This record gives sequence, C-alpha cells and structure tokens, in this order.
Amino acid sequence: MISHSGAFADSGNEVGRPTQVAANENSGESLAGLESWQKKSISDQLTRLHHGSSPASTKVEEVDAKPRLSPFANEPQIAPLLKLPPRREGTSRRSTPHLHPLQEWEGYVLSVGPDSFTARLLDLTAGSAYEEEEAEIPIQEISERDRPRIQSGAIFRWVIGYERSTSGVRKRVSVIVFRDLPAITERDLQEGRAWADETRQLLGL
Amino acid sequence: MIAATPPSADELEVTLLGPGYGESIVLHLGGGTWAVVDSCVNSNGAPRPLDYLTSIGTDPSVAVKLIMVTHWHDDHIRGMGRVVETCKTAQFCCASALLKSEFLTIVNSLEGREQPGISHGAREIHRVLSCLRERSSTPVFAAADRRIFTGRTSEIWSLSPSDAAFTKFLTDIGQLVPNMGKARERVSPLAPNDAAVACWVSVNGTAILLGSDLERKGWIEILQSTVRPSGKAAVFKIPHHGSANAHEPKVWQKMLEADATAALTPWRRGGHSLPRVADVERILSLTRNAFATASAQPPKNQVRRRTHAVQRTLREGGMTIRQAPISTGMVRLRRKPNPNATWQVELAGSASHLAEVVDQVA
Repeated sequence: MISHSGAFADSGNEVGRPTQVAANENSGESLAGLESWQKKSISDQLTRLHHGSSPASTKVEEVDAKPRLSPFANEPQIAPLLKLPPRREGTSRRSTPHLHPLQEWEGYVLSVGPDSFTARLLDLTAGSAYEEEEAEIPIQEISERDRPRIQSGAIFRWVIGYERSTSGVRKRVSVIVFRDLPAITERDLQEGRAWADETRQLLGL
Repeated sequence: MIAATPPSADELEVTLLGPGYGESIVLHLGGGTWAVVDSCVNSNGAPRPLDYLTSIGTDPSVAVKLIMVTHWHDDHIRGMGRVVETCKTAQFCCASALLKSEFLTIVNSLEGREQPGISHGAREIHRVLSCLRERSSTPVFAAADRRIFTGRTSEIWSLSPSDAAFTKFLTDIGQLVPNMGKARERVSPLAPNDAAVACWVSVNGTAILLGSDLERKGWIEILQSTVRPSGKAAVFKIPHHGSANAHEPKVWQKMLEADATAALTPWRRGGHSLPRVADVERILSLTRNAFATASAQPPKNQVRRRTHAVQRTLREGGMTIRQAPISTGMVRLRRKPNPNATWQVELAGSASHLAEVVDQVA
C-alpha cells in the first residue's frame, strides 16, 4: 500500500532501507490515485535511495554505468515497481564547494583590541621557516562562532583563494579558521616527564 | 660600512645585534675567545651571531667558548638551537629554572612532537636542550652573584636571577602547564621578566653590564647584593629596550661610569614600540653616548609582494600586513686595553645614535 500522507510514511525509515515501497509514475495501478506532485516526490526519494544519499548528505557520489539494484529487486511483487532511469555514465558532481588557495598563512594572536587583533604570520605559501610578518585583522572578519577564541596565543589558519561552488560559480574568498589543535593527553604529559627525567640524567643533573 | 676584520688579540669587543625576534650580543674576551648571549635571526632565518662571526673571519665552532641564554621564549632566542649545534666547544649557561623537571615537562609536552607550522613558543629551547642531550653536556647555571666563566684575562658573572625570582619563576611556569584535554595553544613569555639573566663581564679590568630584559625589581635586588663584582661598567646594554619598567636610577649611579656608552635594541609589536620618546629623553639625560640598533618604527615598503587577487582581498577586508621587526642593524664597540683608550663605535645597517631615534619616534 502506498501511504498518502507523504512519500514515505515510516518516520523511522533509514536511507537505503525502505520499509515501504513506492512507485514511479510508470508503475500503473500502484500509483493510481496519487497526485502528480506525490508521484514526483516518490520518484525523487527513490532516486536518492538508489544513489545511497539523503537530503542532508554532503557525500560525493561516484557514478558507474551499471544500475545498482535495491535489495528488493528480486522480490516478484516489488521488482516491476523499481524501474528507475539508468545512471548516466561519466556524470559526477561535487557536493561541496572547492577552494583553490592563492595564499596560506598560519598565525598566532599577539594582542586583541576592541575592533581588531594583531597576529604574527608564518607564510606557508612561501615556505618560510619563521614568522616574518605581522597582520592587523578586523574582528568582523572572523566568524561569530570563532570570535571567543581570539585570545593571545591562539593559533589560526588563513587562506585567501578562489572558491568554486557546486554550481560552478567562482568567487574570491578569505577564510580565517581558528585551529582545533590536538589536545594535550595524559600520554603527552607522561612522555614529557620521561623526557625531562632523561634529560636531567644525560646532563648530569 | 663596518670593517669585516676581527679585533686584535688584546682588543675588547661588544657587538649588539637586532632586533630580530629578540637580540644577540657577541663579546670578544681576548685572545680569540668569544661569548654569545642570546640569539636572533636575519631575514633568511640564519642566526645573526654566527653570521657576524663568520663575516669577520672567525670560526664560531672553535672560537665561541660560552653561550648564554637569558630567556627561554622563542621570541628572544630564535636561532639559538643552531648556535648551540655549531659552537661545539662552547659551555652552555642558563638560569637553573630552565632545567627543572617541571619546565622540561612543559617544553616537551608542547614541542616534543615535531610538527610543521607555528611553534608553541618553546621550540627553540627544545632544540637547544635536544642538542645538549646528544652531547651529554652539563650546563653552567646562572644565578645571582655567581661567576660562570673564567678566561685568561676575563671573567663573566651572572647577577640574576635572585633566589626569590627563581622561586617565583617556578610558581609561574605552573601557569604554562597545559591542561589535559585542552587544545594546545602557543605559550606566551612570562611577564614581568624577573628571571632574566643580567651579566657582568670583565676583560682586562674593563667592565661591561649586560641588562637582558631584567625589570626594575630585579635591579633593586642586584643593587642590594654585597657580594656582586665591584667597580663601574664602561658599557651598558640597556635592559628591556629602554622601557621605564626596567629603569632603576641607582644602576646608573652605582654600577656605571659617568657618560658610559650605552646601547639598546628597539622593540615593536603591532602598534606598540619601545623605546618611547620619554625613554629616549631619559637615557640621553644620563649619557650622551647612547645608540640603537634600529628605529622603533617599522621600515617602509617592506612587505612581501603578492598576487593582485590577494592584495585586493586584503584591501577589501581592511587587513594590513607588514614585515615583522627584523633588522640588519648592529652597534659594534671596540677598545684597546690602554687606560686612556676610547671606545671605537661603529654603526651598521639601521643602527644610529639614540638621539636620531627621537626624531623617528616622535
């Protein structure tokens, strides 16, 4: 039975594991009585199932020429309903924007003012060994989520480059992200203590 | 143009280099024996004390007999790891607090795993310690009123840190202990700098006072000592870039000759710089013979050129980038051991008389 309350009535439905069957508009009797928008919605959801993705997914799908079959493909009463259009060979689509960097720095905050902060920068693009530059950066350039992290000593990554969206539009961007460096672990401290003891021993202390 | 020749065997030399990240002092103690105090790098990342010694035809690997570290933070001793690696016959000296277990634990926890990119503030001292470990080389510890080096005609004494400053330093480094589970950050140098090592250098009866970054409280403790070397110094490396925080008038009265030759390295970070106009005027009221290795103001037009797209993005975002304060300035002082000899002052690169810095700062 097709549910009329929506494409899939089972709210606990997991992607790729339909518990209800649906049909495309070519299935005949099974779709009788559905409005056209309901048929389209079902078809869309089936397509997503077929590709193994959900509306929130950002996974990039690779397309191959052979259509993948649902686990129910061999069920006699279900198989005729699952006539989906074949995948087009060679089509792939990025599901996330792509950033081409022109300039990258790693930096740390020196001081924070009311409207801007000062930072020392290590030029990663030039392969610098030492921080040879200082920057004055308006706080408004930092995302609101990261602003509480603007403190003396905080380390960040700064990239200027071209971003290409999923639709192919290119724009110039400047992205500053405060890094979540690996946290200090008990192991780090134990190793530190062991190194300290060994150092003192080697130095005759 | 400074002569690229070494001093004569009996000639005393004090050369102040910087600013880079920090400063460095190179001393000729007589007979081809040299000492290096702290380190900074040039724009190529090479340690300036090594560059200088090589430029005057001196081989640092055999000539340098003492290396002193007066600070531990990266911003003050950049390149020191390479200095220690190169100067294989030198005795290493630092404050004993830097070799306490607590401090070593912190250093290795932060920098123990070699990672590219920005250091966490202790990378250079980690390099130094790693080099000493490889050699199993026992350091000499600097503390108040301790003779740390004896040469044929020279002596070097550390005047600080005092016992109280040492104890405070151990307490303060507790702040640096990274909390477990907390993301790593870059540690900042402890301030005020009461644990910096000030030194008294004596060569053939001529004394030089090296002030490091020691602040006023540390100087008051030094003046109270009854066992420090007596006499007055002819040369003063002014502490902490000439700041008022590090000025103690009694140092000029009791420890320095009248009109002593003085030198400092400026400092700047963001929009702040030292010495300020008031600092310059104060120093010039105490001696006419005062010099600086560079201007306190940022050099003009020293920004790395980048693509038009990058420049435009910076402009549109209201972001400015300038060269960090790395200069080629040098103040070199040489004097023969004659009692009536005067100091030969040579200035190179951006170095100038301190009076010229007033015009630049104002």
